Amino acid sequence: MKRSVKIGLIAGTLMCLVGAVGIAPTLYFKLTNRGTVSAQQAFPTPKVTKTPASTPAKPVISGHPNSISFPSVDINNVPVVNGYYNAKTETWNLGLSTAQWGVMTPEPNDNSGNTYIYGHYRPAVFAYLHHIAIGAQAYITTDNGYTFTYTLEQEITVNPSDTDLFNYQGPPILTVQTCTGTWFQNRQLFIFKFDSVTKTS
Amino acid sequence: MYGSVLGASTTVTGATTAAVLPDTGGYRPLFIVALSVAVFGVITLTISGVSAFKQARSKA
Repeated sequence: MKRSVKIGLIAGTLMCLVGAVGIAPTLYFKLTNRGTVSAQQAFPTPKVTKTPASTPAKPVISGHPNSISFPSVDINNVPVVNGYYNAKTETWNLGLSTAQWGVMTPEPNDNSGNTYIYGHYRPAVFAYLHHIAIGAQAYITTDNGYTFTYTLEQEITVNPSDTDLFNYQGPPILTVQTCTGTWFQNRQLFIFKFDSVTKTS
Repeated sequence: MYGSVLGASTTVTGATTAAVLPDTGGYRPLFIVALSVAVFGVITLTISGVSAFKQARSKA
């Protein structure tokens, strides 16, 4: 056998092995929905207190989210579309240049609940979100002309199977998710508290 | 910590509506590089294998 053929066989085999080893973790994490967060932080739950009986009911302001912005990290007016979960395939719809609002969670509002918005770790969406600092603002515009303002309170990293955020009940918050980790195997959650809402149009 | 910030009246109950969180990974550069290497390896292996087979047959 010629020397060049031998080299080709050896090099080809090595490349196949290296490639397979490189592909394996991504496929493993994608197919199993497992993460690598060991000391996982629990999703924050608010203190349980009783509402005074005399508290007057105020009208709730809410709206379907149109866009989301994080000016401090130069993420501006990312379009927000509806995000659906497919229980059969255990997958969610995901746009390459849009963020998604989880339709099973409350719309942005000034009353209660956890508004959940997720998006790709891509330059057009949330690739630079991990640079955001505690105390930074997020703005959501809605289809009925309101702008909701939130302040970043906490950032946690969880495994894909940690769905505690859907159990939240309490004052209005916003949770924004993108992926993190060498193989994007973990989920990074940015938890914002509601600040204010203004009519802008 | 969070409760002190949010305050107000709450109850903590509710049902999980999804079994997993969405896979929001981006370009996955490591995966793309590894896949490229694997594909290039298969091509190299195929070409070398065919050459080796032809050489063996011509010798026989």
